[in-house]
Amino acid sequence: MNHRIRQSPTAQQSISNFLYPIDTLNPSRFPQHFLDFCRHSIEGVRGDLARAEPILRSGLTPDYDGESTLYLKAIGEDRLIPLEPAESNRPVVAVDTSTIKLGELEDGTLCALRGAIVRLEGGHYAYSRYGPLVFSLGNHSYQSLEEFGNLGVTPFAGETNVDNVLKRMRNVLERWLQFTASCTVRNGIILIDGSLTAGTPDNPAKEVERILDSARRAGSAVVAISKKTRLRIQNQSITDLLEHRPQACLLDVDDEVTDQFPPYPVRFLGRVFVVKLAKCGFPFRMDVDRQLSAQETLMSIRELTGTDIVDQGYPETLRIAHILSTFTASDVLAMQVFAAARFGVQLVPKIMLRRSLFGPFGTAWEAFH
Amino acid sequence: MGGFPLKILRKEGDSIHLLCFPREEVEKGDYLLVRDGLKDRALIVQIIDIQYANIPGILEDLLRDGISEFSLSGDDVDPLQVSSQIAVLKDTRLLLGKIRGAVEQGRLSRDVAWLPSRNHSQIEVMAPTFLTETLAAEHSFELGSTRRYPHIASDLSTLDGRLNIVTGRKGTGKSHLTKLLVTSLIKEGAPVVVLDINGEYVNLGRGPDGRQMHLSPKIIALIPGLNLRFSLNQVGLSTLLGTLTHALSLPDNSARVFARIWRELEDQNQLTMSALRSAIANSDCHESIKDALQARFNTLDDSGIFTDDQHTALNLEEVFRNHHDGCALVVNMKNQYAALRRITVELLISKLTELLSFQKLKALFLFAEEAHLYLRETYWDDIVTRMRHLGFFTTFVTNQPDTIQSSIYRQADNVFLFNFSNEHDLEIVSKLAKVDAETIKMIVRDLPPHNCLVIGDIVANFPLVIRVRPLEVQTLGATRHFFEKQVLAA
Repeated sequence: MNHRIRQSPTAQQSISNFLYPIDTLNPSRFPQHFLDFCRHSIEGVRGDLARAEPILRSGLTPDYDGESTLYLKAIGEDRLIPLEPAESNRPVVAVDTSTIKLGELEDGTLCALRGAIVRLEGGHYAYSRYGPLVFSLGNHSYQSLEEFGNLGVTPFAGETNVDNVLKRMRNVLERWLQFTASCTVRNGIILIDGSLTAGTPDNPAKEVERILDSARRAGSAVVAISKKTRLRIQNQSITDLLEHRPQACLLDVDDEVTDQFPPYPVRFLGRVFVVKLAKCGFPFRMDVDRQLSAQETLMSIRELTGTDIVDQGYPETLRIAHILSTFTASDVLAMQVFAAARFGVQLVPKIMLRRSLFGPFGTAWEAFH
Repeated sequence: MGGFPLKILRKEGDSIHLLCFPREEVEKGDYLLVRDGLKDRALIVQIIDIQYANIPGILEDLLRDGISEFSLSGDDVDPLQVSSQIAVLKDTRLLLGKIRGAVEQGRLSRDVAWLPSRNHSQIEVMAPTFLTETLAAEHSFELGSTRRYPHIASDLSTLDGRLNIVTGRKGTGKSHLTKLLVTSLIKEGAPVVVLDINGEYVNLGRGPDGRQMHLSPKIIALIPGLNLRFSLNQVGLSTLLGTLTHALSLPDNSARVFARIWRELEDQNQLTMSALRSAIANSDCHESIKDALQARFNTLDDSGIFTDDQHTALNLEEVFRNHHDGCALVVNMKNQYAALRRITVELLISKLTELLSFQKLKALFLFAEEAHLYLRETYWDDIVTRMRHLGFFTTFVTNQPDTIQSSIYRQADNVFLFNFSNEHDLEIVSKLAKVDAETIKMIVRDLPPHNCLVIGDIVANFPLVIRVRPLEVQTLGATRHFFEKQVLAA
């Protein structure tokens, strides 16, 4: 069940410069207004009943690369580029974030957010993890808290739901981490989970452009890797194109993809590839900063495979960032306890309506939805 | 117990599971009171095991931590400090408890057929003194301490008329506890006999520095053949025949011949060792019987335990009469061969049984260390039936629990269990009737040295984990070492 959240005029008007305040460039410092938002949003539901989720499940639907399903033209095999790893001292930095819904409030949802930056340099992995940030989303908090708009969450065109707001909150944190990485890493390869498609309400082009710009000025290449894509060629996913290729290789599908879209509002800030980074790995969609030359792009990908571990075709830094940011069941439990202890949210088990009505016949998937 | 409250998770039969947060300090053996806020009653629960609570997602957490610890370094920016809650959850423990009783209107009760409220119950640590205060304090003695409570006392009358067992693997403190019991009984005026296989009780009257202490006159060390000697008159035919047949395996037909010889000498008033030797040598029985009798006689004679001099013979009745305010006869059997041990014990027990049956002795406490080395099979049943009724109250001390018959375990009134880690040993001691096997197995395997699980009347049938108090007497039983520094055994 989704809670509807009405848009607040205050929130609409006060789109902040969250991504750019100078004090946020220090990765050890978290933007204060983000923390304020968390505290205030839970303060607003003090004493509320929270129907805790009985099992761990993701707060959001699977993250696709932003586009609707597209059907592309066939691509000739002669366009395949073999990938040879190239040794490099360039640092590899990966960013990932996660969200989760902790429980349903009387007037909203208790949520949490966490992000991680992992840096590979000199053969050693190091990380900075941010969060968890626990906050509530709902009519009350959304309307009354100016901070919500100050976070940099883009306004909604009409009515929206918790899932969408949560997704945008996550994007805000992710962009902050990406921007922090792009400012602090010199001559590196910055890995992002997802795509460089911008211009959607979830992904404003201006913000992605600034991240890319900042990275370019620092001599870094931004590479986005998407585990799931809706792009299809001849009724199969574009990643299937490289599924049975015996070697690491790269396929440029940029023209096929971009030709399908008008120049506005969706903007492809990255050049789109299908890539198989390791011989026995899985193929992924990869977007590389469009302003890099073809040679720089290819070299960055080769250096990525020559520097990072690409077990199963997925860079280790990004895998670690994902592991560090995701929530386990005990994290969820701890955050529920935190909300109860610090803000007096009263936790009660969520009623399983179907299970209550149908007993053992209301089990399986439907029992949890 | 400040901090987080404990919570009832589950109850099944007499088992109860409690959730315990890391700040709570609870150990195996502790007693908790589960007080139902809606009723004026509480359950008495003893913790028998402590496990990690099965928190969902803990495997993923630990795997993630494992990755971080070995190949990653980094910082956690946790402005809301939620991670501390995660740490608390990871260390949340599950307490496995056994319901031992209840408290109703401030009094102990055995009515446990009710369920405390999960929501309204408060759980607090319970003082073991509350459990043992039902014991008569007439012959009070300090048994030791628990982790929280420095003085745990009991009453010696709970050993009176009882069958007791002290067992545990070597080096855990069995002898230390036995010495405490022996000295406490003597102080209360009880007659005690110690069958001392290692010669470690002989100095109970001396302080750690070797000086004689006030108990010294009450400790009578006896060495078979030296100051523990009997005359044939004292022993009597029946006792001696028993010794010959049970300790020295004399065949029945030879025993009949021996009885005839004995009666002839008795009629002639010539019951001496020298007369007995001549009578056997001159008897007109078959050569094989004569050989058998001569061989046994030589063994008895060589032992030095018989004397024809009435003045050097030990008069047990007189000894106890002279020490009517309590004493311990310590029979030092150190370095003695097996047959002599058996002869000594046969003679001694027969003589003591005789004194008790003729009311010449009110009652007697016998401490038998490693009794299987000298006690014959038929005595095991005798000890729990006939001898007990005569006033012969035995405490078995052993580090080999399988040497004590299972019937003894089932009928034991008090048991002091020190550490056992061997499954076979734990299986044997778990046959005790006074407490469930799960409690024994869970608690005993983790007991540190000098700590024991006390079960039975001596703790008002509320099993207690007790650290036995130090003794102010010289203890010779401690294991000797060649190297000064010892690696602590697990």
